Order: sequence, then C-alpha cells, then structure tokens
Amino acid sequence: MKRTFLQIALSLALLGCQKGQVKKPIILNPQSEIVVNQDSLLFEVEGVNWTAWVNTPVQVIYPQLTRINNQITLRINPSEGVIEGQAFLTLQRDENQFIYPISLKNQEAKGQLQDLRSPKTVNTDSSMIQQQVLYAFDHSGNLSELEEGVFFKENYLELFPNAGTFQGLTSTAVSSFYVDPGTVKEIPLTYSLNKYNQTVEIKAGPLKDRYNNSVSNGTLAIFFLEKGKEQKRIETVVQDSYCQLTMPLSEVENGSLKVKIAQVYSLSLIIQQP
Amino acid sequence: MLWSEFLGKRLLLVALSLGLLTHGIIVYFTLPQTYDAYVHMFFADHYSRFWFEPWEYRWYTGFLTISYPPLVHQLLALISKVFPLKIAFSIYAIAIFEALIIGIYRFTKMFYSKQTAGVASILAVVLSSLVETLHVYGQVPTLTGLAFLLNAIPFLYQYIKTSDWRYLVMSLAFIAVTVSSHHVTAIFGMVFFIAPAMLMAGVDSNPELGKKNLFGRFLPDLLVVAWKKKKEILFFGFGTIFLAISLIFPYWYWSRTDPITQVSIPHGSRDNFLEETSSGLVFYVIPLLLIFALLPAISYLITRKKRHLGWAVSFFTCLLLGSGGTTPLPKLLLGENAFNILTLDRFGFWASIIAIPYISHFLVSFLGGNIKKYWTEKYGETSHFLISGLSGFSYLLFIIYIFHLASFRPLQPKSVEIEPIINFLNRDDHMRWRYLTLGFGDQMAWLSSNTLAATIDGNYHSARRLPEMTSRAVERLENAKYLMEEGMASLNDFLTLAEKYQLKYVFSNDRYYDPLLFYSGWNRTIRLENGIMVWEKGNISTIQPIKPTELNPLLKKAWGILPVSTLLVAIGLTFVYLFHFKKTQEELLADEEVNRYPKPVIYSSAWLPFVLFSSFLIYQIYELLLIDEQKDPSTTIYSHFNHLDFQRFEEAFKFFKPGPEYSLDQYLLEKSVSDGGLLPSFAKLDGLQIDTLEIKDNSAKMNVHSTWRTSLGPREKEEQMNLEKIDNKWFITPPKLEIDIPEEQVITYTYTLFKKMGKRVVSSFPTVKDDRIKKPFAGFYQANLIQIGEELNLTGELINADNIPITLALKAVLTYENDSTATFFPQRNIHYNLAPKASTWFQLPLGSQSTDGDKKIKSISLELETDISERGYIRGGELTYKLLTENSSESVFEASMKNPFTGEITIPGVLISEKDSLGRILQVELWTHPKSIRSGLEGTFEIPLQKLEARSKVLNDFPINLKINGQDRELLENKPVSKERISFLPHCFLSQEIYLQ
Repeated sequence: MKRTFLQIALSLALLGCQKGQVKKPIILNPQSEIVVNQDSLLFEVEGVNWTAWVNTPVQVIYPQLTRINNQITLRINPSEGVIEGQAFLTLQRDENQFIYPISLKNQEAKGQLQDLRSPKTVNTDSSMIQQQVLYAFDHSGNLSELEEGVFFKENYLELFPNAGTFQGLTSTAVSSFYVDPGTVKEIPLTYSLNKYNQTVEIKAGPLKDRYNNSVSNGTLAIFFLEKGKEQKRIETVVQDSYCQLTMPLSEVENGSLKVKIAQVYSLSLIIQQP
Repeated sequence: MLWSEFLGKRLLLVALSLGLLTHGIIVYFTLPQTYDAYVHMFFADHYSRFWFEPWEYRWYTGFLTISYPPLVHQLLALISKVFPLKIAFSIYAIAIFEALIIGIYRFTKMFYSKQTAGVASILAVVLSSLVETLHVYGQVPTLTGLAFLLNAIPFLYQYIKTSDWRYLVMSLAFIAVTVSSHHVTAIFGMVFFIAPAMLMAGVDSNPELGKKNLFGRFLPDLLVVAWKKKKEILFFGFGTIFLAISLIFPYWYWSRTDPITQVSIPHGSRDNFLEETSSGLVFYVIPLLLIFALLPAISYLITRKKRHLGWAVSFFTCLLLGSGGTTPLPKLLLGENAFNILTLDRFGFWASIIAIPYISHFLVSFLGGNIKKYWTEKYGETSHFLISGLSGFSYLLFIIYIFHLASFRPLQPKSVEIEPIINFLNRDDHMRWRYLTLGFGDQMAWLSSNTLAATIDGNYHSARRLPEMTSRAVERLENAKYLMEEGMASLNDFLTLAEKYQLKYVFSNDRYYDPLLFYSGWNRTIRLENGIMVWEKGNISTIQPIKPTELNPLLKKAWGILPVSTLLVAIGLTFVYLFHFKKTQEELLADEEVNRYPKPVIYSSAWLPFVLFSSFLIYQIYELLLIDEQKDPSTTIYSHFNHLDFQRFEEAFKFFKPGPEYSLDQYLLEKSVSDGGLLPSFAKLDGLQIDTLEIKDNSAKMNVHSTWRTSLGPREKEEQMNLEKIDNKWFITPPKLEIDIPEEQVITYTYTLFKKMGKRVVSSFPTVKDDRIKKPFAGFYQANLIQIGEELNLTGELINADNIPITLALKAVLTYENDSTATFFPQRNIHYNLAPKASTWFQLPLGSQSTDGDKKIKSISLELETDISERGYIRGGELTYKLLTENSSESVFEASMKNPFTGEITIPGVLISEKDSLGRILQVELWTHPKSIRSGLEGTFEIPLQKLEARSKVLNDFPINLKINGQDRELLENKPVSKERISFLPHCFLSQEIYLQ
C-alpha cells in the first residue's frame, strides 16, 4: 500500500513538472512571395515570449515583431536587400520552434548589366568570332530580368580585325576586350650605309599582320647573318612596326642577311657597298 | 674546510641559483644558433594549434607528430599560450635545467655524501656536455628525459633496497615522464642507469656481498640476491614496460606500421674522429674533455667497490659507443642498422652524467679533503691554490668557449627576419601553394612555426616519406649544397618536379642556388625587405588535398591527454611524498668515503685538467689568430683561396706581394671588372691541388688546380701562380690583368618591358571572372621520340605564338599497356621563358622503358601549360659561331657572344640542338661558360658537342598526342629554311635582369 502511494505521488510530481504543449502558430495571411520592406506576415499565437528570425541561404534576418492580443505581425526590414527565393521563417517560444518555408523578394531594383566576352582576347591569327553573354545583378547579388522572363542573353559577334582595346556594353575597365595583331605577314628588309662611320643600319619593316595591323611591340625578331663559315644570330624586338640594328660594315659586308619572326622569314639580303 | 659550511642542500641552492643566473640569462640568445631548438618549437606550435590532431601537413606533404614523444612539445605549447614561443622555450629550458640539477643532486646521493651531492649539483651547472646539449644542440627533450630519469633512479634504488612500494610508485611516476619526453632516452638510455642502480641497491642491501671476490662468489651471490628481490625487480620491470608501451602507444604503433626505411643520413657522431677532427671536437672532445681530464680518478673510484660495478660497465660502454666510427667496436656492439640510425654522441653524453658523482667526490677531496691535505703538506698551500685556480679558471674559459661556439664556428646562417616572408605568404593566396627555403638553416622550422603555409621540406628527417628524399642521404633540401651530389640531386628533383608537389615559391637566402633555379625554369619575382629573393614557377596547380594517415580517435585523445597527465601525477605524488611520506634518507645516502687515492691518480688528476683545458684553449687561439698562413707557397695559396671562398677580399689581398703598384683599391677594382660568372659568384671551393713547378730560395712557381661545386655541377679551373719570399713570408705575385674595355662610354639598349597587371579588382575572392587573364597561345613545331641505346628522349620545338612573354610548363605523360601512367618533366634543356614569338627546343628524358608486357608504352601525351610571365625575358646577347673541328662523333664550335645590354651576362650559355637530315631534333643540350661577359664586351669560347646521330633513332611506334592548356592540338606548320644540323639558341643567366632593375 505504502509502495503504491509512493508511486502515485512520484507520477503526480513528474506530471506537475511537465510544461504544457505549445500550439503551432497559424499563419493568417499566407502569401506566395513576401516583398521585403513592404509585406507583413500575420500569425495567430498562444502565449507570450515569441521570437522570430529568417534564414536565407547566406544570412539571418531578424524581422520586426509586434504582438497584439493573440496575433503577432512580422515585417522583414533588412537594411540592405536579401538574396531572393526560398527562406525559412522560424518562430520560437521557450524551447519550441516552428519553421515555415517562405519566398522572399526585393522591392523593385534595377540590375547592373554585365557583359562577358569569351575569348576576352582575340588574335587576328585565329577566328574573330567572340561570344557575348549579357546578364544583370541587383545590388544584393540577385539575377535581374533583362527582359520579360529573360535573364541571360548570348550573342556571337564577329569582330573587326582591327587591333586595339575595346569597351563592352558596360563601359567598365574589367569588361574591356582586346583584339591582338597576329603574326607578321611578310618581312620587308632594307639597309642603309653610313659611310662616315662605316656602319650599316638594317631595318625590317613595316611589320604588319594580314589585316594590316602593326605587329606587337616586344615581338622577338631574329637576324641571321651568314658570312663565310661564320653564322651570326642577333635577337632584337619589334618597336613601332620596325626592328632594326646597326652593325659595322666590316662585319656584314658581303654577308647574307635574313630576319625571322615566328616561322616567317624575310628574303635574304646581300649587303654590299654601293 | 671550504665546503664544510655549505653542505648538502645549501650547495644545491647555490647550484640552482647559479643555473638560473648563467643558463637563464644566456639561453634566449643561444637558442637561435642551436641545431634543434626551432624544430621543437615547430612541434610545440603544432600542439598549440592542433592539440588532438597528430597530422601535421606543413612539412613533407604531411606527417604524423606521433613520431616523437609529445610531452616536451605539449608543455612548450601550453607555455606558449601565455608567452611568445621563443620565450616559452627559454622558460621551459631553464625550468628543466633546474630539475636536472636537482636530479643530479639526488642521483649523487646514492653514491656518496650530501656534500658530494651538493658539489655535483654545482658541477651540473658547468658540465660541458650539459652546456653543449642545451646551448649548442637545443635538445630539451634529451635534458627532460634525463632530468626525470635521474630523479627516478634514487627512488628505484630505495625501492630495491627497502621493498617499500611507495618508492616503486614514485620511481614509476618519474619514469613515466621520461618515457613521455624522449624516446631515445627511454629505449637506449634507461638501461645504462636502471641496471647499475639495481645492482648497487642489491649490493648495498647485502653489505657482505660487496666483500666477495668478483670472480669468486660475488656473481653467484648476486644472482641469489636478485632472486630474493625478484618481486621488486619484476614489479618495476613490468611497470616500466607497461608505462613505456601504454603512454606513448601511438609512437610504437607508428614505428611498427611505418618503419624508417630511408637511406641513412650521415651524422658527424658516426665519423672516425681521428680522421674528421671537427666531428671529434664537437661530438667527443667538447662534451667529454673534463671526463678525460679526470679519467684516472673516475676509473679509480668507479672500479673500487663492487657496488659501482654496474656503473663501471655503463660508463665505459657509453664512452666506447660515444667514440663513433673511430673504432669498429660501436658498430659491432650496436649492429649496422642501429649504428646508422642513432646519433652516437648521446652515449658520450650519458657517460658524462654517470661520471658526475665520481668527479664530484674527487673534487671534494681535492679542494677540501684528504688530497688537499696531502698536497699542501707536500708542496704547500700556494701550490695547491695555484693548481686549483688554474684548472678551474681554464675550465671556465672552456665553458665560455662552448657558450660562444656558434660565434667561432657558425652553426647556422645569419638570422633571417621572417615577417616579410609571412606577409608574402599571407598575401594574394600564396599559401595555396607549397614553398621551399634555401640557405635558412634550422630557421626554416621557425618560419614554419609562424605560418600555416606548407613547405615541401622539413626538419625532422625520421618523418620523411617522399621518395625523392628517402632514397638519398639528404637531411634537408634547404642545405642541399652541403650534402654534395646527393643533396643537389634531390633538390634538382624537387625543383624539376615542382608540379608534382605544388611547389611554387622558393625563398632563397643563398645565391649559390640561383643558376640551378634559373635553368630549372624558376623566375625571380621580388626581393623582400629582408633581402630574401623570391623565386616563382608558373603553371603550378594549387595544393591538392592529401588524405592524412588515419589514427584511431581514441589514440589521438590518449596522445593528447596521457603524456601531460604523467607530469601532473609526478608533481602531485612528489608533494604527497615530501609532506607525508618522506622519511630520513638513511637508505639513500651512501656512507662511502674515499680517503686515500693512489699517487698516480692524484698527480694525473691534479695536472691533467689544467693541461688539457689550457692546451685546448691555446690550440683554439692559435688556430684562430696565430696560425702562419704564409709559411710556404702551398699554405699561402691555400689560405688565399680560403679567404676568397668566404668573400673576405681584404684578407685575401694580404697574400699578394706588397707594393705601391698594386693596392687594395686596384685589386678590388680589377676584381669587380674581371670577376663574375658561375665560378666567382655562385661556386663553393671544393678542393685544391697545388703542384710545385719550380721552387727556389726566394721564389716559386705553382700550378693550382681548383675544383668547385656549383649548383649546375662541379667545375674545374687551372692556373699558375708565382710567389716570392719576403721577410720569411711567401707572397703571391699579383696577376697582370689586361682588361678589355668597351669602346662606348655610355651604352644604351632598347627593350620592351612588360608588366602583368595581376588582379585589378580588389577582392579577396580568388576568382573574378572578368579579371582573369587568358592563357597565352603556343604551338608545337615538332615532337619526336628518340632512342639512344636503351634510353628514350622526347625532343621537339615549340613557339610562343602570343604577343606577350610567357612561362611554360611541359610534361610528358606516358600511358602503358596496363593503363598506368608515368609523368616526366624536362630538366634544364629547354627555355622556360619565351618572349613574344620566340621558340625553344626541348628534351625530356624518359629513361629506359620496357618494350613488351604490361609496362610497354601505349601512348605518349605531351602537355604544355602556358602562363603570362610576370615581366619579360632576355635570353642572351649577339651570338656568332663557326665550326672549328668535326668528326663523326664530335663537333667543336668556336663561339663568341657580345653583350649589348646595360648589365653583365652573368652566366653566358647556349642551348644546342642536333638535328637529322629531315630537321628532326635528336638532342638538346645546355652549355654554360664559367665567366661572365661585361656590358659592351665580347666573350669567346669553344663549345664541344658529342653528336648522337649515328647512335640515335627516331621512333614512330607510339602516337604523341599534343595538348596545350588542356586542349588537343596538332603540329604547326614550319618549314625550316636553314639546313644547319647543329644550331644554337642563347640561354644566358643575367643576375641583374633588366626587368628587375
């Protein structure tokens, strides 16, 4: 008897310690999409001490919470925009949490247009076709519509084979694209004699690619001079469409000279006194 | 009596204070020069960051720290939570040295009186082996292991003697700390202390036993005593084994599952000290000179009574093993394997510790006991005072010498300020690649302690597992030049296989390596504020995740908790013991007193210390200051070269015949205009062979054949020198220098500079798509598989088809019939940097390949990656060449190179290619000239080439697939105009590159 009494008392004590079940809040104005800084969510709740927060894929937002009687109103007012799309609203009271999937949207915001070019640098030796991809981001990093229902535009542009640096549609430094001159088409080679100091100035140029663009500055040009059994190899670089070198006449006289840039050779030139 | 007023503990207190004042003050300043301090700090840093994670990824692509007992490192890590790491190390070192002094005090009490123990504790402060271990080696784990072992031994002695279990607990508590601190002490050292202590206790507990004849009843009766004490011996033995296994079980597990199979690394302690006197000095003379000086007294005392028998065996065995390879006996005793793994100086170190009680006892007697009485009666007080003072004074000078050993014999390169390197690694995601330091010494470990970036190198060779390292006797890549051919071969492997290990940056503190780095495709980027040159290799992938060697989580927890617990338990039990159980120490204190010494022992032990220490110091002074460097022609030349090798030009100049026509200014000027290039600037003198061509009373003509080590391989030089004898000194006649002078007074050179803009969008995101720079265009002109004998080479030619300078990375991937692959890289036979539209030949050695079976080649993929070069590249001056001689196997060309640049061509070089009749490249070879070419001048040289056409074959059996930047490519069309069979491309190293100015 005593034992039974003890068991009952213990059971009652345990029941007395147990907290009551918290009822799940009921959403009163369900919405397919919540526009931040504009829409509110209304919940019917029981009890006090409710807290709420929203988890987006990259941030936690604490909405403004007001309670009147058995209703709480949540208004999501982030200081900056949100990553749009799926988010989760959590309502908590004591140790009870209730999670509601919601969809967030920013108020109207104009996106920043992006103009991506691929390849960014086009060489006139190869195809002049360039891919252009256009899209826009708003200031929170959400893709914005370019036109109704269109987020990306892809164009294939045939560029003019004029070497230079060109700006994309956004006119920003990082969106610029480049047309590089190709390999030299032919190498005209001339020389002139300075009879006072007995030197020969050898000049290769103008060096142009097949679209008449000047060959890039810094392009390696190799002068080969063959004189008797002796071979001479001098490396120099193209500057403003020309490369040149000056040599003593005695070293080059009656020698056969040619210039090579990449796999293109000039015609051989025999240097002789006039 | 001098010592009578300061008995026992008072002397101990004096010793502790002295230890604090000497080691405490100096250790912070000596630790940067030690061999090991930084390594232990690195381990401490590991535990500080990842206490329960034994995988350390920062060295060798990762290793397990369970390969070294952790207690010392963990304690350092704990202290480093409060103090900076170097200060933490100093605090720990001081604390452990104090514990060691106490240990020596307690240890000595087993042998003799408290007074002797007090003297022993003072001796510990200035014992050369201990000073060297702390201030030269920085080996705090050894000192920790020893400190706790010496504190454990008296408890063991008392346990065996009294069978009181409390002593067993105390001794095991201290043994546990020893085991957790240092594995070598635990495995090899303990036996030299435990067995003699047991024997001593056995004899002391049975006084009659000590009177028995050694070769009569002593040994049988000793066995009877041991049998009676079997319970104590077994308890202690099993307890020790249990602790040793359980406390550092992961270490044993690692040793078992990942045994050391690497090629043994040479260590000076294994040298024959008679042949390698510098090793003998550091590993035998310095730690043991006091022991040798007092060897007669030690030998007398240690063999006088049976209770010392075990100590005598340990002492002489350790002394013998410590002698390294001087005799074959250590190798016979230890076996080939252990001999080649162990550093044998430890045995000498333990011998010096065993000798402490005997030295102390002799000193007590000599300074204030019976020997003093005998001496003063016979020779007077003054004589005794003088000999004591001189011996003591010369010994203290000897100790000061050890404190400053690093100044006399630099053990490490000069201190490197690491902050600029850390800033560099933190910047621009540089940590995503591995780095390598060159010429840093042990400071590389200090750098590692201060960064989370990973290096391919490391400073704990037992943990190395990379085949390029373990297959050679190379301790570290960092000091490869000191490891001769093996070191440089290993370094060369890593510099060539940079992609395999994601090695992108080299921090060089030694220009010796510059030529190797340059010709292996590395580019200088910037010189940091601390003078360190940063070399970079392009086209290297970021670090690939490596799966750490798994360890049971329970073992990880045990590794993090148990070792530190042993110290806490030992400290706790010590307090309990001191306040509750400590009884009188009658059973510990020995009543042995030696009143009479044989006269030979007295005289030899009185004089030897003074003779040895003063001789040592005089020899050092003579070697440093008084050696006659001009006593004969050969010595003069040798000394001159020695100073030149260390860039001491003023010293080197003093060997030239003095006179107004040749001043130091003139010498330095001539040097600056005539000296430069691979040999004068990037070489280390390896050997000199000096032959006399003609010698008279006052003149001599010598032929000097010098051999030099360079990072591109050994070089030789031959020259003749004339010498004159003036005032009994030989002088070199200054060479008549005829220097070429450029005609121009001012030289101009036009070059197009390039600058890669890098990241323009300031963002910590690694990828801003808009800001990415394209991969430059390149193409292959030809690719051939060439067979020469059994060896295969892949040769060819490629071009930078772009308008910007590029760096390139080339590799050949061979796929075999069994679908396995092997990757090969070019070494030095290629231009790694190409100006716009420049081309290069290349040769990749594929080695010997199987012609049938699973390992037959199925296909070859030749893969090229290109990247925009940081700035630009000039590859050489105007090259003129003509064929000089030719036969079927060799062609010799006469070549000249004119330097049109505004800086010198530091290493003139050419890339040579040999082609067959169809223009296919058969071989590519790099040739370099040892002397530089100054601006505006021309250098002339002969270039020999061993022709291979007759011995080579172009194989068309396997398809060679070409890939450039990941995309399949075909050969570019290129019709060779020239019919040259042997062609040249300049390939010069310009140490003052135009784009770096």
